Amino acid sequence: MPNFDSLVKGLFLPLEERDVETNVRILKILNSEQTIVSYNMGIKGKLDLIVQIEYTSKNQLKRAIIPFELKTGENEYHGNNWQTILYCLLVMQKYKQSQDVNGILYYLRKKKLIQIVPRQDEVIYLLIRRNFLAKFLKVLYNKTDEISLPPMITSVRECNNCKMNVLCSMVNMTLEKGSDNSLRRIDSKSNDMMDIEDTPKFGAYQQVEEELTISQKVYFKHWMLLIHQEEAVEKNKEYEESDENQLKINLIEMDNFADFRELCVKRNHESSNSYQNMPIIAFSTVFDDKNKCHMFLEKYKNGDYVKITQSGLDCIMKGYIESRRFHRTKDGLNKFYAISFKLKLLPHTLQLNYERLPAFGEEEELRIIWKITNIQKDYFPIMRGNLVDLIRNPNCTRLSDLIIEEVAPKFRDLTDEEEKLIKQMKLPFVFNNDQLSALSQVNLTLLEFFVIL
Amino acid sequence: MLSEHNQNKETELFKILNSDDSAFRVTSIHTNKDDPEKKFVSILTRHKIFSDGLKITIPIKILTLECITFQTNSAFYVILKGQWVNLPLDEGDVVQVFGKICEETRSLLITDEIEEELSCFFHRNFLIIEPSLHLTPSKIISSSPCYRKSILQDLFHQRDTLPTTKGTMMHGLWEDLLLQKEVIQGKKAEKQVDLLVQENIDALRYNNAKPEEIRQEMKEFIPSIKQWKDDHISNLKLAEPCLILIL
Repeated sequence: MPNFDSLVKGLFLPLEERDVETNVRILKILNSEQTIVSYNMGIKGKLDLIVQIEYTSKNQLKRAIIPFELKTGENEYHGNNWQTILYCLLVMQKYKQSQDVNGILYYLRKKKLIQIVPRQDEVIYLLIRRNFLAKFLKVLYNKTDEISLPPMITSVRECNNCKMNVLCSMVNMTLEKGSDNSLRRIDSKSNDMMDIEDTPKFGAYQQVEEELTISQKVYFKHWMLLIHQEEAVEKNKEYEESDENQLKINLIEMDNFADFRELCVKRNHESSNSYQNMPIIAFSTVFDDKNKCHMFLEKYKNGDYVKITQSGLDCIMKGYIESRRFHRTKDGLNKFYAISFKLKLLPHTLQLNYERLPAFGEEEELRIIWKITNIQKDYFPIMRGNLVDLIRNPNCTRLSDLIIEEVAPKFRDLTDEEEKLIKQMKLPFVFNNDQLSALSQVNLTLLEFFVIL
Repeated sequence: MLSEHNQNKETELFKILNSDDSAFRVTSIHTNKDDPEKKFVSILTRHKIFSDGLKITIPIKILTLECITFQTNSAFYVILKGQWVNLPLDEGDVVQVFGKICEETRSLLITDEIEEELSCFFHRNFLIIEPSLHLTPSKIISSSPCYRKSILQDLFHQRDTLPTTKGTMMHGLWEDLLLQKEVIQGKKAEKQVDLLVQENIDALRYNNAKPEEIRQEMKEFIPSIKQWKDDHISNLKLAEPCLILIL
């Protein structure tokens, strides 16, 4: 077990003071699993822990707030250091630290603590990568009629080891063949675009090229474009959500908080097995504007899969909208539009900081506001995953033959036992193999069969 | 220019550090090919870009920006140098600029040179493209060395593998045990493991893992987490609960 105190000595200090022997003490765990969003750096992260530390520098007692990142994997990976560096930036900005702060990276399996010092060259490298990625994403979702991805790096070593190499090859040979992207590559270090003359040479590319039929290529391209069009429309709606946030149409209140608290307490003390049914939680919201009300009803429909969050309680839950009700009320000359709906909660999705749960009766004095988000958009990657399964998964060969290769449906051949059974029937007419197979698959006794005939 | 920002004025410079509500649009881009020496002579002189008279020997990009969130009368200029030159910028792109603007030339230089004396990275000049896209650190990291891989991972559903499922469970266990105020007793900690296994049962089954083996593997970590907490965290305070949003 490493000595934590000795490791943190001299850390979290301004550059010129980093080598000075200084006592550092962790004062407080400020937050766990907190999501910090930097709206001007365009970075958001969920930090394992944020801790406040105290240290002495030039005979003065100073304090700093730093990120603490836990890793449970077997191996140390430099990307983890970079991740912690970006968390340092988020923490510096969120907690208005006027000097660079270090982070702590802890490898649980190895019981190894590492101090992460954000070096300027590394931060610049990471921000430039972030910028490239943001630009590529913007271009991808701005175009609805084509899927425009970053070019390949076409490094035989990297591409052979990449777990996405099959998909990358499929996309290249179906969606990019003949386009500019098939003729250029990006240098992984300098980010320079370069022309290429030959097709990529890594193993997976050649394998996919040999295996993919023309029908599969056409089918893959057709559905990839359709899914992309739909997703691009949804993404653009997401950008409009900032307007929605301003209008506050996604803020709701819980109607039965006491029941919810009971549910949470039960969950905290008992095993999750105790849930036999999906609990129902009632929410409501009131608008003074008819248009906002319509916007809400349009966005959140029965059966929609939604996420509901409350930052003060650190609470996230997901479930389905089971039913909705809408009614108008009047207060003097003012009209109000109220919507109430029931959420069928998926208990395993419930996350909550139990210590923040208001005590019994206390919630009546509070007005707890929740935020609802529609998470239907998660379906697009699943759709694409199914498409790839249909083409590549050996278990889907029969389905693929039917749908993509348009092979006529055909029942399997009869087994000896089935043939024997059919012969016993002594029918006056002859069935073909498909009919016989169908009959054998219907669980009828001979007597029942003859009654039907 | 930028006077409507809520910024600190520092002698001749404006500071736009940490301005959440400012954004700029790129209205034009000049590179070395466009002979920027004549048009931007004062800016290039101010930032010592010229060498050997009025010649530019290094690759640069000069962006003309207009503020889209505050009313300003004129544009300002950003010079990109070093690795920043390669940024894939186009006219119309929205950017955020950090750093100090020279009021006299209405310009700012962004370079990758290391500034040894700097105590805080936010005192550097840097630029963010499309700040409204909030990317996670793990996504940014996964783009190295290949951007395409990172985007493909987003486009196609990746089922949780056994290592990622185990990682999620370990995270959950570590945080559950670490953040509890009371001393962790054996059975309570083991109950926590059971709960985590139950919560992740679908992913475990999908990966053909035996829940009992995973439960056992996780239970073996309980003593070391407990020891770590006893050594380093026991005397710590947890932060007071944040205020619930009250209207």
